[in-house]
Amino acid sequence: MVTTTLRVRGLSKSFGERLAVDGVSFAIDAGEIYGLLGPNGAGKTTSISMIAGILARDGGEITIDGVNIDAGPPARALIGIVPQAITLYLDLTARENLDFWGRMYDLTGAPLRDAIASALEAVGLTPRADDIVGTYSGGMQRRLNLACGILHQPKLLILDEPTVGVDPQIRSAIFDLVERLRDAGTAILYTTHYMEEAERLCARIGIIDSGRLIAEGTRAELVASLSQDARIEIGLGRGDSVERAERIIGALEGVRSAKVENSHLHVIADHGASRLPAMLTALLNAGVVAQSVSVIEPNLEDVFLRMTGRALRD
Amino acid sequence: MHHALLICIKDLRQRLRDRTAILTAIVAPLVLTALMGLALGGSQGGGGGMRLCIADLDHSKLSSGFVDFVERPALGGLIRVEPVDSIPAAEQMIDQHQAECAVVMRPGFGRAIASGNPPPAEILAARGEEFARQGTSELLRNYIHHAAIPHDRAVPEVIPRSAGGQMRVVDFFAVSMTVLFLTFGVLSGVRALQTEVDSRTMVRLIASPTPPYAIVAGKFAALLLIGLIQMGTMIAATSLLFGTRWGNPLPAAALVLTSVLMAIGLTAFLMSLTKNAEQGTALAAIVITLLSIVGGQFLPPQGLPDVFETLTRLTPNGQAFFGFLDLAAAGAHGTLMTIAQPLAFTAIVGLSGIALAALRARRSLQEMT
Repeated sequence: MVTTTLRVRGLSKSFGERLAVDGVSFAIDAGEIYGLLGPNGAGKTTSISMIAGILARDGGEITIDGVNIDAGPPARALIGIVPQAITLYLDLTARENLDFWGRMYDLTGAPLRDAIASALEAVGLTPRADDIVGTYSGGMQRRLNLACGILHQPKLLILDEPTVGVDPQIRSAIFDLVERLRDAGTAILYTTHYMEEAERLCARIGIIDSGRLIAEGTRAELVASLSQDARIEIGLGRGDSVERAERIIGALEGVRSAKVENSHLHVIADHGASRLPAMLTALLNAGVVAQSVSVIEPNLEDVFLRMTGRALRD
Repeated sequence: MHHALLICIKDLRQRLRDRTAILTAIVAPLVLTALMGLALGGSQGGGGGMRLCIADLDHSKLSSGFVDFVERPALGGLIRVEPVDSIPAAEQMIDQHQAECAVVMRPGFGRAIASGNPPPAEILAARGEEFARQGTSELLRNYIHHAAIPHDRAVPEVIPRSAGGQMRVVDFFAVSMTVLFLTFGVLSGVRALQTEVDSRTMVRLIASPTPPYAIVAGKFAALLLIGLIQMGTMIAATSLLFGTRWGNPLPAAALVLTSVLMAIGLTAFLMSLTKNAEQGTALAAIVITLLSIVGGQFLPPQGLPDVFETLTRLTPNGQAFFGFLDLAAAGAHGTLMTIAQPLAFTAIVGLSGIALAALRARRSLQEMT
């Protein structure tokens, strides 16, 4: 039986006149990765700060495994947080960092020692456990940052953009670890502004913009909401009249928009892939030869663009 | 409260690993005390204390009373009196370096004091003994002031003013460097606290199942312990190495506590005015140094215009500093009342600074999260 670990209802927060989070509601089940996707300044970090009990909220309700966040320490004990910033004591060793954080989550004795060993093993830092963290590379610090969040085997793990500034190898290792935690039954709230991460890891995605949750669902559900719009990119040769090509394609039935950018004609059309032969024929009849053709299936970036009129990375 | 203890232990562990902080807190003040004591101590050495030659040419009750005043137990043997019977004898004592200073009370000394006129007296000092000369001058002025009161009132056993130049130079700097570097030592702890906010480990702390009061208690306990350990070490080291006396242990311990509070409050408040640990450290270092100069920790105010002595008492570190000097001068007779003003002043400054810093920290914490 699937249990709901995190339930958020009507979350809101203002900073002075600015409404940073406006009525955000969602839920995460045990063993599920929920992605909170949005551009910088959308309200992701403010939302997770309230969920983690760091920031007081102006309105709404948050429960973790049935425990209201207002219960304080008993609720926070169920949460593991991996902040975006490296939050480690650089003048202590990795083991000392983990020992401290483990004790802050009331682990002691053999369970603490075992948890430290497991966390170090999970992030691949056992050989460097007794080195001062200040001597670690950025990637190693990022991994230890993650280890401190999972040490006490939380019910809910909050990962705030955990792969910012890391190389692809470390990113891949983090993804593997997150998936293992999911498989072990941890509910995971994963915030990112990288669409690719959300698409790879998250069972469900909430798209947040200007403090509001504007869309929610699986990747397939969100993309389906675009009504099968596909983007077609047609590369034009030098010497071709790009304005003429734009006029020709724009006039075809089912074409919603046709714009030229850097010698490429970007077309959005209903049932785009099926209209491709007609487009190419029209161009050929006008003496315009396509150098390259790409059919780009809609993705979360397109969903965000449709819903907000802005790109995810603006 | 065990979370508070964990935080305190963690902070102390970090401070003990900071070799620069240990150098600043213990080694630097001891070295400076030794150097300054050697450089400015003149011929004061050997058996300790200043050798004061007294030529009583008046032979009155008031002139012989000055000898009693200088030799009484409250001064703890800091001054050794060498009586002579003429001015040439006094001059010879100075020339032959058998005394640092000489007081000549000419005939009419006692009558002048009794009638409220300036008494005929002079102070002789060897070249380079400016410190001793200033101290002796202060001593004589102090006696004349007390001698002017009705003769049936007892001369107070405890000198109400700072012993200042009545102490050995090395003792002066032992106390001044201890108070000065206390502030720098505590500053390293406050800096670490600010770094915890800057680096956002504070966010992880707040997110943990640790009550806010435990975080505050743990951090404060660590700062308090840092200051107390530093002061205790300096008192023990200066007593052993230089023979410095710090007075009656109980009031001295009370003043140590309020001095540490003062250091925490001052540095925490200054840190809270800035955006990060680096800025806060720079600001605090400048302010501490200025306060120390004004507070008379680098130069006794007795040699300066009177307004400086007033200014020193307006600084919290000056209050702490002269409080310790007063206690040392009072010896075993020192009580909490001896240092009532320094105790109150340093405690108020400390607690106020802590409260203001906490208010500002709460606001910036909300902005941070």
